[in-house]
Amino acid sequence: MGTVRTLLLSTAIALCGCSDQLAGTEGAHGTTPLRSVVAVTSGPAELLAAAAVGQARVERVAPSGIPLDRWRPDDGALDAMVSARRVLVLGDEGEPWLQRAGLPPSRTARLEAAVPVERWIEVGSFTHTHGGGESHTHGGVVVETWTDPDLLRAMARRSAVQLRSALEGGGAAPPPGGLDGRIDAYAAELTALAAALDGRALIATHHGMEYLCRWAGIRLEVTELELEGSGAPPNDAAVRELAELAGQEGAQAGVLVWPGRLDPTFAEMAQQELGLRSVDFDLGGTLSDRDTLTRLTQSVARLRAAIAPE
Amino acid sequence: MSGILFLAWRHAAAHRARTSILIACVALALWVPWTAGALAGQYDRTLRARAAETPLIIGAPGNRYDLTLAALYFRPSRLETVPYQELERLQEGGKATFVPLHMRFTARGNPIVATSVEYVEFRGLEPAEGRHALRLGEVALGAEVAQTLGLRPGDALLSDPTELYDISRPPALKMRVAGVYRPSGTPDDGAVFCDVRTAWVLEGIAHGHAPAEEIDESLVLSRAEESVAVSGALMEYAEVTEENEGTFHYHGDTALLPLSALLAIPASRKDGTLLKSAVNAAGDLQAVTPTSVIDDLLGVVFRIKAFFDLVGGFLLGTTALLVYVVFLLSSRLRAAEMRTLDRIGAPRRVGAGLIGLEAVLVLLVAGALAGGATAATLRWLPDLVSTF
Repeated sequence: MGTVRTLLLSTAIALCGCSDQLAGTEGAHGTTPLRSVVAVTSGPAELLAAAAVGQARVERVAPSGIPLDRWRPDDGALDAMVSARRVLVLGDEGEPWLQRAGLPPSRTARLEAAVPVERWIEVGSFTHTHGGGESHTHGGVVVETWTDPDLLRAMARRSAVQLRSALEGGGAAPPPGGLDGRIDAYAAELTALAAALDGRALIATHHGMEYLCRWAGIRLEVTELELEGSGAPPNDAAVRELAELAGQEGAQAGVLVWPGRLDPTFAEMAQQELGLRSVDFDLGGTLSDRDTLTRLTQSVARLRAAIAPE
Repeated sequence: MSGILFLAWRHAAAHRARTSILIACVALALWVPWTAGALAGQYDRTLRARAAETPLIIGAPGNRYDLTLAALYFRPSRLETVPYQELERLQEGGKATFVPLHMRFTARGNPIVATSVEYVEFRGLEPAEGRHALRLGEVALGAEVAQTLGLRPGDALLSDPTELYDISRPPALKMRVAGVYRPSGTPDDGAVFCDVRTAWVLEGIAHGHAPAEEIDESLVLSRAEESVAVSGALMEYAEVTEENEGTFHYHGDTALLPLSALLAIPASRKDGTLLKSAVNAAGDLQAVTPTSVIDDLLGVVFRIKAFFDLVGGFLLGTTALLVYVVFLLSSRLRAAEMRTLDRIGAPRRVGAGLIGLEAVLVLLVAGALAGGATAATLRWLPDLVSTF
């Protein structure tokens, strides 16, 4: 049947001849109207989009406070992103839902693209257990690249070019230099934190602080408790490791930093049994009523205050 | 009815066999060139219109006819793939909007066109029901597919398995119908659309399964400190649901995920020319202008068209001779009839008029038959372009 069809079509083509001249090659885009907004789902994307095109043209499509690795866009959020002139996202690593949603590639800008390959931080795989449960393995790259002032600046430059060109003529330009000044202030706060630590290590429950610590030259010890607010017992190996780190007085700052959700029960236990004061640290990944840079800067200031000599 | 017309009609009716043969011969001689001409015109318009609407196609180096026919008409072919990172790299250049295309699979015999929402915007496809396929495992159907299969949004459609007896190959994927497009009169009506990520699930590059620590030990080939090796017999999820969607993941470098081709929609003719030159100069990809390829294709087979023109002319000529001979012999057989007409005082031209009118009647009936047959052929012949 296929051969017959091919033969018939070949015949039809043959009968057509080639009388017509080449038609124009200009294609026409569809008539679907796009909204002159930048859709964002994360705190860093909102910060940089607002800096590039003004807050009025930034549209949140994810709810506040939901961790980026757990959010799944509903149909309304997908429609909002598809109809926006640009969608600014972190990338597949930072927002895993992107691997399962069909955003338009030509209108989707990824902040991860501004991060050179050699600047990514990988954390090695390790085998561990939850309490008495089966052992399992974790590993991969750390996604909180925006916490490095230099990388944040690179993302800002890249996204400004991409977003302004897409939305040009659609509204007032944001005040020049505003973001740079704020990044400078954040960087200064980081430098002050490093000075206050004076070579002592920070102990954290999450790898999310890797980039800012690398930038500031701060030694970071991470022990992943994996409490995740589920009421499950902490990872035994991590607790043992934490106890060892806490015992190294003078080598660490005497604080347990929680870049993820702080567990009050464990925090109290760490204070009483290990002498580690818990400090909440907001990495600014999620959407919130305060922007990412404000939360980061305040977190660093709070941490510096916590480790200051009493 | 005037007398002469009545006599011509009665004579034709009295010699049914002869008249029928004449009508059939003439109708056939007319049907062939008429149908060929109409089909040629129709396909000419369709082929050129689809090509003209598509500014540039980019793919791996290889047969440009295969690339063009696959990208325009979803014709099955074994194209070399283009890594996804090429789309991102080209997009960075800002010369055009690039639309990914992946066309290696079918669902109940219909091509699965894995692309992005820019494709449906570019082709002007509008959902008649539901919406575009934006999620992993969702499809939106062309109008003809939906009608043929009787599917609506919310129904399920299974992909066709590629390797029925190879358990290491991904199983057929049960896909949810998210929407049905309005008829467009193009090959898009006969296609099943999904996001490119769904095609990667069909390829087996992306899949979902139970977490490694929950896998049946009989399927674990080895456990090392940093990895778990699992048997190819592990059952992967054969449907993407809200519950298991989060377990779907890619293996390998996502930048290298395969595409069949890219549609490029430049902002201007100048951008298109610059883009085509740059891509072809680099050499690792090829950029083709569909109108040029279709014209080349038509030019190659032009000689066959001339042959068909010759055959049609020969057929018409021999049929005309046949009709002439039949009526010539008929006039000799009717000599007695003509003499009678002459004796009863009929003008001399009546004899010639009788034969002429009969010939006209035959031609009219044959013409009507040929016209009806041509219309029926155009109506019922399969759409060769969309199934090419």
